[in-house]
Amino acid sequence: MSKAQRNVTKNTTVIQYIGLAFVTFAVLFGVQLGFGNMLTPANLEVMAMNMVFEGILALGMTFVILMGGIDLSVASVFAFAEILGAKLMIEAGLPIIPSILITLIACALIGALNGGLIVLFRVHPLIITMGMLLTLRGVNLAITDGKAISGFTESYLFLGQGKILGLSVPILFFLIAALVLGVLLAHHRFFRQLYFIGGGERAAALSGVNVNRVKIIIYTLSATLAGCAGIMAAARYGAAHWGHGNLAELKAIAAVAIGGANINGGSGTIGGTVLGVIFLAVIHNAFVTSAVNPFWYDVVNGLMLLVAVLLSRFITLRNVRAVLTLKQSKIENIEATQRT
Amino acid sequence: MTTLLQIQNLSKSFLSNRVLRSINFDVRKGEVHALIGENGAGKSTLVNIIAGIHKRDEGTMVFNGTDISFNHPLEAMKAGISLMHQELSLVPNATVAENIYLRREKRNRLGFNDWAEMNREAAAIFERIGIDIDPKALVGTLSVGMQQIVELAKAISLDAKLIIMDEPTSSLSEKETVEFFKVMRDLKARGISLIFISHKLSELFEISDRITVLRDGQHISTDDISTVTADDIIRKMVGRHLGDLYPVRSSNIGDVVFSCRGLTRFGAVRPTSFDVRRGEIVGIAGLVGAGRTEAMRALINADKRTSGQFWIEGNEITIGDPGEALSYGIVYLSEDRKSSGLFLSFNITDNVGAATLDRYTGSTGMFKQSALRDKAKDFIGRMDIRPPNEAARVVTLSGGNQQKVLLAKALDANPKLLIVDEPTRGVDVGAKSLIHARIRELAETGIGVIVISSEMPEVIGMADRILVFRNGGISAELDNHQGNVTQEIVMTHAVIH
Amino acid sequence: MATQASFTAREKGSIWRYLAAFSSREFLLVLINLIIFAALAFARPDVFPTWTNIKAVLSLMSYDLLIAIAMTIVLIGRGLDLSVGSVLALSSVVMAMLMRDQQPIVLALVLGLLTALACGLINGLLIARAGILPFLVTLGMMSLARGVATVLTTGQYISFPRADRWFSDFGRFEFRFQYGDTFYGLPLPLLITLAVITIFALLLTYWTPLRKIFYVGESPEAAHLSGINVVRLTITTYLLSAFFVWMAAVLMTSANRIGYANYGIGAELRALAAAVVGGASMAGGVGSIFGTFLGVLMLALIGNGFVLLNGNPNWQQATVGIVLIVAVGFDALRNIRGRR
Repeated sequence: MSKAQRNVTKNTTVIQYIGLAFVTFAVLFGVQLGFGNMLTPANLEVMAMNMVFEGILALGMTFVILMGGIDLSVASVFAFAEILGAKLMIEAGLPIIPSILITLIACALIGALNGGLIVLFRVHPLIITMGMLLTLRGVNLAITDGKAISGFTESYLFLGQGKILGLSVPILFFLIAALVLGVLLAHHRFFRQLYFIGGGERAAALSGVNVNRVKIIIYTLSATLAGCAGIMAAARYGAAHWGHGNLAELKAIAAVAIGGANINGGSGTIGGTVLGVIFLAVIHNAFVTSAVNPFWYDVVNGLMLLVAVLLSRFITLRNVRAVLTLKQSKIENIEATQRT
Repeated sequence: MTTLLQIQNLSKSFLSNRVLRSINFDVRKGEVHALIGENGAGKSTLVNIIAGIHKRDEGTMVFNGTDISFNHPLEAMKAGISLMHQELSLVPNATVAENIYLRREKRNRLGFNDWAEMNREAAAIFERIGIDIDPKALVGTLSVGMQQIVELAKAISLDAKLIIMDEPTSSLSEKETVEFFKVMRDLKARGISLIFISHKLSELFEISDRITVLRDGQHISTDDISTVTADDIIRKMVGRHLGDLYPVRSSNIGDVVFSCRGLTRFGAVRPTSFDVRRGEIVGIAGLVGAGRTEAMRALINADKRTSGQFWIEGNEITIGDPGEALSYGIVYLSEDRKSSGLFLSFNITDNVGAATLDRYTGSTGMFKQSALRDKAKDFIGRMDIRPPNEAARVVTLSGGNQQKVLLAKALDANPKLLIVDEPTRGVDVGAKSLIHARIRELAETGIGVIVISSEMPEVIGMADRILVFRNGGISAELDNHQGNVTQEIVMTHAVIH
Repeated sequence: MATQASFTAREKGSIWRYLAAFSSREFLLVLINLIIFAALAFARPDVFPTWTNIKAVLSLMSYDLLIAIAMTIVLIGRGLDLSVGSVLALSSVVMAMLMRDQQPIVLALVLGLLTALACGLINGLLIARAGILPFLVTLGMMSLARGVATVLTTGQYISFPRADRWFSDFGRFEFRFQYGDTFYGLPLPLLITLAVITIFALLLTYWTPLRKIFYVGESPEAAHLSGINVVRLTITTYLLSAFFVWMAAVLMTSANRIGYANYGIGAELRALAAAVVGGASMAGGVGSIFGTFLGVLMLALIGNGFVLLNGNPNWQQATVGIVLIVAVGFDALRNIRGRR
């Protein structure tokens, strides 16, 4: 492979990030020029809060997708955490800390169940997590009778509505979580295994990776993060409702895909996902600010997912062509020597 | 000259298939020991056993003075044996240093990788072997040649005393091969032993000290490289008794039924041209990777070809896809029947009709189940398919019977040109003879047949004419009407010199 | 093959030959349905076995049945269509808007069909030609279609009071006939649904072009080499799915007398559950209309049971999810014990 070709594969990811950042800023400044009001602190806050919970879900989703899996149940775990926390605090009267702990443990168990079923049945994670989505959503609906639960204490509401160091608590959580998870993914031995598994489960197993254990842990992590998001969301909205987080799993997946991760696993970074989250947040806010019919947002969301996927397909095809070129020159070179 | 590895009387069977018989094999310290043999000779199985991937059935293995019996490749790694597969097992999105220390990363108490130390040590290894690779680079961004060297570096860091390389140079350019050999010589100088599997005779003669030939699971010879010639090696690779278990060759060959000119597929098939006559069986021989299957798949455009002209019964045709090929009577049976030939969950009837469904269709499009079922029963009788139940699911059949069903499917399509890829792979002896007989009968009815086979005796026994493939195209066309083409001749044209 | 018939049955004589057309799985489902039926009839003999109740169950089932059939077709071809609910909404909205604007009803219906087919075509092309995972493509389409529907209606109901009466009437039309003292009503939509799916079931097994879909799903590579046009058939499955989704849209719009962008939310998961319970597999090559029917029936009976036994109807959704996981697990364990 010539030097030029070699560098291309590396720089593709960098190009993708730069491209993404570029488009984000272009939209940001474009709308600002056209309509103003985009870059005010207030609006930036609105922009961020709009995607922050999906963003937290996307962090967990990054890990799951890296591994070659998928977790569709996060949206329902998110709502479940809202509801369970509310029930514990408001209906059962438990203090905040124990309620949060119990909720997080419950979410972790759900994640472990996801992982366990996937490993046990050896079925595609798509269908197991879809079943869990259905089940949990139904449970959410049932235990609340379709009604919202509200009546949180002031101190609890702080978790969603308060600010620390000038940043909303959820945003701070997202940033810290992204930082911690990013560092873990880049430097911690356990999390590096996600790339190993994503690159080939059998090879990973032969190299000594305990694939099943890692899977269960990662699905547990994904659900726990969804639980954290739910706890803060209930505080933010002041109410827990079974319909919260509708389609959130799709937005999370979109953010991960737009952030450059390969849906089949093996490549992707937390940084990329964060960029994807920011991108989606900017786009959504641009719609709102420019007073375009906000209902177009879902349309754009769907389109962007398709574009992201087409792009990664295009890159795959280009790599295939590069390999063929190599093989062709090899054939020609060898043939030349055989004729002598 | 101390012995590092001593193997005696090693045997291994997979199910009822004897893959290795009483192998004696030894490797000395600091030598490059070449291992050569045809496809299916047992080389891969042997090295897999040495590396702990399979367990032997019988025999002894002594490594570095101790008896060994590995249950898992990791044990072999710890003992100092490293295996470099043909398919690299590196993680593309991890760094070079990380791949070298995979699952043995230098880390602190909390589990965080100590990149600095890993990079340092990796750099030290690269310096030792005189190759410049950045330990921080992602493996996926490196060329294949560099990736191979990273694998070597991994073996070195594992303190390997024996490194096994399975066709390491197959994807390397000439320049990269030179670099690779440089590293190999360096390892040798440090007392590390290398087992080197390859089909490129020139390379084997360039780099190895001794060469062992395996054939049909048996050890044939081990010689100093300086005492043998390429011809000697070829002779040993194929020097088996052919036996006369094949149907009588045809004396009734007609005119050309199919012609192909300039068949090319970028990156896989060089410009290839050949004719097939009525009543003739053309055998396609060659080593794995020579491009035989790729050429036939490109012919029917199952994989998109770059160019090619075709004539059937004298008329020029275009073949846009396998369906169009079928409409002209060109039928291709895949070499991997389980993944691309049969519909495993379906029964025999549905498999037999898979390529001819439209024929069992009425004018309104209604499917004539009973007509197909009768035809299937007919084939079951003709090909002696067991159990003789047309509703039996194909996955339950033995390899031989599965192959017969596949053949029945082809026959039902009334072929003018039948291309069979590895007709008796994974098939027991009895079914083999039957399949050979049916193929010859078919040819006698006036159609042209192409048989691709990695079994030399099969090619020589069946074919009237043999095309030897090498490096993506035909290297020789041999007349076998008298049945006197020798295995040596075929092998000579099949190996890369 | 279409129904994985038990092959020993053929030896037993003519009656078994017909029964052998049904697989062991379908027998099991019939049994389960009978058990549920009997249990409910025993528990609530006053309400359950009445024609009013049964009619209600079957009528409500119609929509789910059509969508489940759509999902089944795609599954047989080794695909997945998550956009069924959203395309239903979009189709319904298009038709309702045209009727509201007093366009001829037939035109509205045709354009509704074309809308659905367009979505199906896009799905099919991206999956079969661009080679993108069905999960991703239909996920994007799900968002896209729902988004477009929402944009068109800005979330409002679309009613069509001035359109010809016959359209709204046909959705609630019943054939009345008398048997003894009581009058029974047979809803027209139900009859249409059952007729269509019966015809389709026969076509799927006995009409060669559709029969090939099984081959495509079982092994696309082998089908390709056998001369079957895999790309064309894959696209066909998504077009057929769109057709059935359109039918459901027509019935729903007619019966409810409105077009609504939020129709069919969650329908894809229920459809997948019913199809998988009925014997379809995400690995393709297997599935039957009758099996799916039994799956939908089972879920409908369970739902009805909840209502009649004063179970919290909200638990129904959760039950569907659990049934899906159990069915999948059951299949998985059966396969692990050795199918291939």
